Amino acid sequence: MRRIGSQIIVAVVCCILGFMLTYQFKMLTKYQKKENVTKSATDITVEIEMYKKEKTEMQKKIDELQGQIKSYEEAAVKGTESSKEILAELERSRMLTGATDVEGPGLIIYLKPDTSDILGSNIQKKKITDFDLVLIINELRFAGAEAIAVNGYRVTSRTGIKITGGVNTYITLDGKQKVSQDETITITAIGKKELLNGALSFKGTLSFMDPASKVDYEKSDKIKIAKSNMPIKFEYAKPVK
Amino acid sequence: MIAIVGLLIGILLGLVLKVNIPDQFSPYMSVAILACLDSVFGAVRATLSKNFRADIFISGFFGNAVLAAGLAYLGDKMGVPIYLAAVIVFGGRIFDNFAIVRRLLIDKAKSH
Repeated sequence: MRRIGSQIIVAVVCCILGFMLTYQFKMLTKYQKKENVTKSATDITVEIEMYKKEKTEMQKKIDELQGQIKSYEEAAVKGTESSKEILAELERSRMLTGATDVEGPGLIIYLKPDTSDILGSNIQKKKITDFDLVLIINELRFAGAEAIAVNGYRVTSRTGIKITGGVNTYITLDGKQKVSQDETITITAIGKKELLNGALSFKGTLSFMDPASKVDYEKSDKIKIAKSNMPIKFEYAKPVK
Repeated sequence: MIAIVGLLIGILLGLVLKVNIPDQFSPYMSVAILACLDSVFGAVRATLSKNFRADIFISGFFGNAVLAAGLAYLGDKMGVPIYLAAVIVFGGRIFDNFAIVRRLLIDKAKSH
């Protein structure tokens, strides 16, 4: 009787072992299948390179076509005074929407993230966030900045600034330009440089920034800000007649 | 004999049943399985040398599995690969046990 009992127990134990073995087998094969689906890093890099090349080519084409438009416009306004006025108006609205490269005096701001690494400890550091950028840009606008760019990307009236979710977060402008939070962010603004400088140096203006991250700014007489490549379309807003 | 039947039933259960054990336990499961395998080999050896005791087998089976998984977990938390200790010890013992089982079986075959 005892013998049978112990044998049953052995059977049960072996049953558990078999179950665990097959379960682990199933899990591992599932993982391997998952891994096969993902592309290798090199493939992705090659693809990115390709798209980058494509982008620069398209950019060239856009510039070419815009040059053509300009020459047409100039040809069209030859002579009459009123059409010259229209062209000037067009130029002004282009600048307003950020559709032309502009240059002028202004301020260059460098936002340096906190890079201090105390004893190599990886404490959760407070990084530069989208809020910081938005508030600084707002401050500049209030001080009369006429054109603003973040890391060379033109900030227009339609630009949205937001932080991405996930572990490796970064700030994105319009979901197109990626701004790393671990590197120095450069904000350029064209406007009356004394006013811009004064706005930022006013005590308490930058109090929202983390004290560990450094903000430097310098006045400059010649800042060039490239045009925005975002197509501006109005799908919903229509002028009221 | 009955052990093999139990093993087959277990494999069938593993194939048929859809039990969800969280993914993060998977590495600990591996170490636990190794410990269980060691116990089973030990049991086979003990049966052949006729000093098998069910209570020792059962306690070794579960005790080793829990200890191995626990050590692997602790090692994970501390950043020390303690699971290597379990792998080496149990792996070595499986081979030892197998060597003894082999000898016993061959001796048995010769004596007949």
